Amino acid sequence: MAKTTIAPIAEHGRTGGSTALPERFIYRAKPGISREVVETISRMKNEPGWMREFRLNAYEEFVRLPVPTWGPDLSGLDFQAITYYQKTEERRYKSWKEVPADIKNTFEKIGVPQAERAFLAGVIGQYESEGFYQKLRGKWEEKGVIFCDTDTAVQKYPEMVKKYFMTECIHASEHKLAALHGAVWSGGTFLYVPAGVHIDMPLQTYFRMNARASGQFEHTLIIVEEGASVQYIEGCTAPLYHNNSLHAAVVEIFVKKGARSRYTTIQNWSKDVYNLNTKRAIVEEDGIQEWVGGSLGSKVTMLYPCTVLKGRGSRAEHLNIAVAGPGQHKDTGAKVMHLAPDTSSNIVSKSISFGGGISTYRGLLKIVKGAKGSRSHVQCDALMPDNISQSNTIPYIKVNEEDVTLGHEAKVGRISEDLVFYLMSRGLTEQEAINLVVQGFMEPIAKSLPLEYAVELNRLISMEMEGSLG
Amino acid sequence: MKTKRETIEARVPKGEMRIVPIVWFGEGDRAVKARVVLDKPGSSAKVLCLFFAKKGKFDLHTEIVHDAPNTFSRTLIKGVLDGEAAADYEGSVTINKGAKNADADLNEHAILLSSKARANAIPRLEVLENDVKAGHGATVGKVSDEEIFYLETRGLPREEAKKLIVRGFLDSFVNEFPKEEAENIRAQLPRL
Repeated sequence: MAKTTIAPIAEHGRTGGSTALPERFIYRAKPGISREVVETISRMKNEPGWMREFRLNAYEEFVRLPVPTWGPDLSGLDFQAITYYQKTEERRYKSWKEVPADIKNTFEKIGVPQAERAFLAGVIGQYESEGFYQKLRGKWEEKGVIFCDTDTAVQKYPEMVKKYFMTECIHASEHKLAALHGAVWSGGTFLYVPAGVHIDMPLQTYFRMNARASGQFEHTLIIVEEGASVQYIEGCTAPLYHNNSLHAAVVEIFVKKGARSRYTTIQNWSKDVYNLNTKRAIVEEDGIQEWVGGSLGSKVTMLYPCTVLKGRGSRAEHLNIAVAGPGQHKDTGAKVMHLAPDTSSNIVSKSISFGGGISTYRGLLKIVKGAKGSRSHVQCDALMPDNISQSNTIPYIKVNEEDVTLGHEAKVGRISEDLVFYLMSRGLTEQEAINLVVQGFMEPIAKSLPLEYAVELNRLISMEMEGSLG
Repeated sequence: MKTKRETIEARVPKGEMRIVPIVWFGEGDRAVKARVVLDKPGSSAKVLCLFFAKKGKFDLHTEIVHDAPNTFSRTLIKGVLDGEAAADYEGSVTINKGAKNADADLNEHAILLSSKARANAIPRLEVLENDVKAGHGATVGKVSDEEIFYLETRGLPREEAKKLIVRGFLDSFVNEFPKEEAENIRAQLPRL
């Protein structure tokens, strides 16, 4: 097999420094949000009436709900300056040969086609608002796996979408951004794994936001039926324009009895993107949901993947790393609700703040009455290599049941001078020594990533931090 | 009806140490806020809170602000909740810029003895200086079955074993309190 270089998250290196291509579109909504824009999106997509109704109801909620003020400052976000919908292609391509050259080049630089050949079971590519490429290996198609963009799913599998789309897991009325998402959502992944099917290669979707002051609102819906298992990876990037852009995605995952799902995302948005997402999984009896996340880039990120442990013996694993550099505010964490007996959760959160960046761990752990024998452990480690940054830890803990085991620990610290000195005495330069210490710090997260991603993540973080340490 | 919140404020002179003791035995609902500002170099503070109760609601806020170099703080909360007792705890530690070599630790441990007891905790660590040591830990849970089993194998009845473990959990902590509070706690402990 030919050796391929895969750079799934970085393009030419530095986060958010990627080159912008000329903007491409065949239809583009006028900036701002209104009932009319919402109706236009629905019409352009030729959606059934129920989805149009759903969007309009969500729009009403959006107008009604206030901008959340309990977290990072969102005052720089102007909902009327953003373009909510931008369609670039008339159809979905089945082969990279059909994909127009400029999009293809972008994705080749990121390494998506190469990765597909090397280690993926299926790929969806999304450019601006909608998917343009989708491919699932025939072997899985035969077993009844569905892997397509969510717009296609609305047309082809309306009953399934109608059943699961923002009905049970996440509601549009929860908060302003969920409502906005409900009104203008476009693209995303629809993944259905039939009972008992184990997909042994990961599936991947890659989102690219290329236009200026735009928004991406992809909706990902994953349904893993009884005893099935799947690994899904999402990657995201956008070039830098110095106009505030918005990414407000929703991810809903249903893990049925005895099923297992792993959702991995590495987000490397440019430093003008507000990255405000809502992600949640409902896990039934003996099911397992794993979240592995790397949050790089972006201006403000608010992301707290949530697992609802609904069935007895269900389990949640949350692994997250957030990197906050100059001008960045990362407000991330994990939420776990233990609603049934013998449920367990493990949360590991790592953050690095440097160059004036602010990182906050904000988590919620709730154990309701009757969730007997539940266990949970939360670990938050923060690294502050310099002295102009900030690191916060705010874990909310609510326990209404006595028969539980719950532990939480948090540590904030800098890079130990002794460690760096030791490594330098073994012949490493100071920068190499620091990189090694940082890599060791991130190891628990990196080792849960596919190898190509782990290598890339390490490389990205060391590049980000290079020269910014005194 | 909302209980009126008592407030305790402390400032610590340079190089000195202050202990802020708080105890609650469930004699009635209680709301307390303790705030300590460490703005003199070398000052240190310990906020110690011990509680056990069968009923009532305890609402505790603690806040420590490190605003000078070489400051040291410990916030240690230990409690046992039985019956229908409930405790809400919010603890914050802020290390401001310039508080070099600050050392802060925030710990809370609660044991729930009944299915109607409940405990909420919101610890908050805000660190704006990197040359510091800051940690936080929390545990909530029941008395471990293994510990009880061990004592049972040594001939103790189950209830007795449980009591002994809970006493041990609190006893080790009592000595950290100033003399007067320590005596008060010892007098109350048999009620447990």
